[in-house]
Amino acid sequence: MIEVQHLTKRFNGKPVLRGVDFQVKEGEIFGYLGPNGAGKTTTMRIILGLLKPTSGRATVFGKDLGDNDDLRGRVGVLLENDGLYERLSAYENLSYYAQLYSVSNMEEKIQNLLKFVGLSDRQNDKVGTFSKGMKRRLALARSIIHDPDVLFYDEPSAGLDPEAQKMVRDLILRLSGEKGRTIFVNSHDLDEVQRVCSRIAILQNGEMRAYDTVENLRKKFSKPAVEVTLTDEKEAEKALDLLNSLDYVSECERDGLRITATVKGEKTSTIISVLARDGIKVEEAKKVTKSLEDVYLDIVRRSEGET
Amino acid sequence: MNSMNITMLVARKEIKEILKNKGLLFGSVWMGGSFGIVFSSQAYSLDNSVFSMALLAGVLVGYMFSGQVFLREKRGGIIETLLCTPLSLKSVWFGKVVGTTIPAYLISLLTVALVTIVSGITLHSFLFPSVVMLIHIFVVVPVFIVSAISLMGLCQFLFGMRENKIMGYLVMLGLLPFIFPNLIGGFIQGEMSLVVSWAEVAVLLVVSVLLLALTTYLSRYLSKEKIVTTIP
Repeated sequence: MIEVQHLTKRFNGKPVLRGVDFQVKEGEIFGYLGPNGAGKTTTMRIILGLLKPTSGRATVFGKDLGDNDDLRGRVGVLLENDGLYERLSAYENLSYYAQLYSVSNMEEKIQNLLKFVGLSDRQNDKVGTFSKGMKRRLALARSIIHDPDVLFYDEPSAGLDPEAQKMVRDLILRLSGEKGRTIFVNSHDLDEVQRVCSRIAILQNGEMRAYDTVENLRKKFSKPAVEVTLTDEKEAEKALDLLNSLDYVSECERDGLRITATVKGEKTSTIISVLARDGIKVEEAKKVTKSLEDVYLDIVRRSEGET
Repeated sequence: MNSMNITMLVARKEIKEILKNKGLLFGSVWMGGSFGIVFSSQAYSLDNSVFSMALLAGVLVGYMFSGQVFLREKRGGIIETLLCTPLSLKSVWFGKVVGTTIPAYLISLLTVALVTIVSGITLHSFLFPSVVMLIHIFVVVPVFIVSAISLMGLCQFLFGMRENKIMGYLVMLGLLPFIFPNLIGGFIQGEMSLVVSWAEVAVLLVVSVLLLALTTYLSRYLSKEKIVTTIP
């Protein structure tokens, strides 16, 4: 569906992308993560045909979008900018894009979409009078007015309130679930990516640092850890000294009465028995799984260390 | 959809946006109108005033409109979304040129009408432009305006914001003496005695066509990458 092969891009000799490779399968929600300046937007612009790669290839349905006007009719986009005309009304904006995409049953589709994004009662108001959240919702409606097969979303819920963010997430899941659309999401919002994406790629300094399912990345980058909560300060100090002395504990962090111990191998269960043997009173103990945020930060920091 | 329909679709949207921008519309009508009134009071020769004013109003108002149609859309990043639609870059550019030229030309005609009416009132006798002037108004002026807007729109798409600012000064300062050779000549001589000839109108038509040809040639350098990489 979307294929990126050995993609490189230089601006004035400065490399922005350095041999990026990935594939997005049909019906997949793909998350593209990375810090600012990593090259995410450049990758998306190359796939959309807005930029030419220095070398390598980016195709959608096996073709270059930049050279295929008709093929772009099967693609919907929501970029960083909403792409809306502020002096036109919500209805006029949707109507303009519907005509550009030669949408049939235009009137019905516009009304359905306005209802779907909760803007029916504001359809005749100028977009310039809308809040950021309302504009983003309208832009989402615009991106699917022509019923595209593939969607490219760049920071879809940036600047939205939690309710609107949830609406965006639900919409993405619904768009993928109902019609099996392929969705490419550029995002900083790790929580959003974790909730909606089946596979992710992490980009840093123009290079791919990770590319797998969220679960596999967690497994790959997570070390087993145990979080124990002690009853008081004295117990916590004793426990910290003891855990630091164990050769299979690689890292120990204390936060008040809570200690997180990263252990080598499968020795998580032994931690509790060791503490109990020394008479240390444990209030609570649990196995810790790394969140996508932890995995992401690990990968990014590790890469920063390498460079 | 065929290319003509696409062009007209883009052009209609641009005209609609210009009409909805009350400040811009009022400013341009005011400029065209005030030029018409001010210069008609100095109309030693109606032909000379109309010759200059039709071009001046058309190009300057065209520049004001192109600022919204090309530059504002680029500055705001809306152009990026538009370039992801099935429209070709040439269709987008041409549609915008048409959508800017039509209102700019209408304001140019308004200026001509005001020059004619007000000078008629001042001179206590209504004069109508000569045949050569009618050819100028209905053939040469639209060709010149479309050429100028095409070139300005192309530059606004190709260049960054700083270069566009410089271009703005050039249009405002540099273009005036070229548009008003007769007017400047008249001021230097202390009177405006020149009457526009067929030769002058023909030369201007040739210049307009050459400008259009130059813009068409330069349009080969227009690319999505050039536009996207110069978005601020």
